[in-house]
Amino acid sequence: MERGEADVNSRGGGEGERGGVSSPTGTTAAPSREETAVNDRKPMNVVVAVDQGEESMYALLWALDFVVEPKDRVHLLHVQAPSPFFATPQQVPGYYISAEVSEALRRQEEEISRGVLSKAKTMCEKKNVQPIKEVTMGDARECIVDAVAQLKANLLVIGSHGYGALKRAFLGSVSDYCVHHCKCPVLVVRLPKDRVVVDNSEG
Amino acid sequence: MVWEMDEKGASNSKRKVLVAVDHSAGSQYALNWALEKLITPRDQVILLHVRDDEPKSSFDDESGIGELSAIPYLPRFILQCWRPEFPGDGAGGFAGGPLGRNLELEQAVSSDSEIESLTPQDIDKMVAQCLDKQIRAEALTVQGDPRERIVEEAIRRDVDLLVIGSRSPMKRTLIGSVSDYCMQQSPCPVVVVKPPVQLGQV
Repeated sequence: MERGEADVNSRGGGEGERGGVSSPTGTTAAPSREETAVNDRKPMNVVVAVDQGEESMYALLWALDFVVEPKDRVHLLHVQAPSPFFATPQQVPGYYISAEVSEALRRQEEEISRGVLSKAKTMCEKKNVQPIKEVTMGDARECIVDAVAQLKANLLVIGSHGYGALKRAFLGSVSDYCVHHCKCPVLVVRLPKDRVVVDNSEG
Repeated sequence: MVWEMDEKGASNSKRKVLVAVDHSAGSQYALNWALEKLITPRDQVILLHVRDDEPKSSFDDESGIGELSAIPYLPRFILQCWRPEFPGDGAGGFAGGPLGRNLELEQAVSSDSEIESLTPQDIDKMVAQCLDKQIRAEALTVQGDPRERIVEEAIRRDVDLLVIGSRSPMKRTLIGSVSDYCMQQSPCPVVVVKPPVQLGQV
């Protein structure tokens, strides 16, 4: 099966050229860096769920290397843990969270979000992908599914801890939940045990 | 092994993609989606069809009925709720337990699987579908348990990405057990594609 191949520089990032005529070449597939493929795929609307864990960073890295292209619209989604909310009035004995503590927790969550999203954004920019940052709050499972529906995503990218059956039963699995409840296709990337994620984003 | 980011990106990647196909409409939908949204002519596609057509006994078929019928004295009407097409007298007879095989059940299950397996013509159509998009594709048919065989082939062929459809929960399998198993055991990342609700019971 022969495919049309074109020079590296003829195709800029972010353009999906389609409708051209295929130019057959007689050569076998030389290792060209880029091709103007005739029926190149359409741009996708991708949501990548990120958190502080290594699994989601690996999932993002893998997706950037193998799936996501500059022409795609990428949303980086971080779900913050819900803030504890107690409506106990002061007179009634019981636990309550003072305003200062609640505020401090919120600020900490914001810090985490900022850190995670900026690290993820840097990774994207290295591959010429301009992501959109999204932050939401609540139970990770439901928030991811809701966000995917709202953003009308074509694909959800999510990392997976790779728990065995027992751990899954006890701890639950966000990726499982998303696969079952998201209407769009879900890419689940498990972190291989023998891999170490090297972060060169500062370099 | 160290994973490092390099300059090469998805725009340049040549991937080996294994698409697991079967008779279900969901699987065709998954293939259509992958060809339209995911796969480019740079990639190489393997269409894997796993035939599971050994004569079914009531104990080891995929539909879950076998496991249920192994529960002794399970009333037949419960099986009928699970699979409405299951032949039953409706009067609440007992399904076969581990001491005896339920021949009616076996027939129902095996005739079902005969109707529902992919013919070589179907597979050819899928390959043609790929070639239409200038995508290199090869078809592979193997026998055995779909779960294990898909993962096995993915390992054997050193595949970069696995695409699998997911059946709607109520038909045949509990929760799309094949896609669940593949998600957990696959050596490479997996895309699980669910058919839209409009396709109905796939």
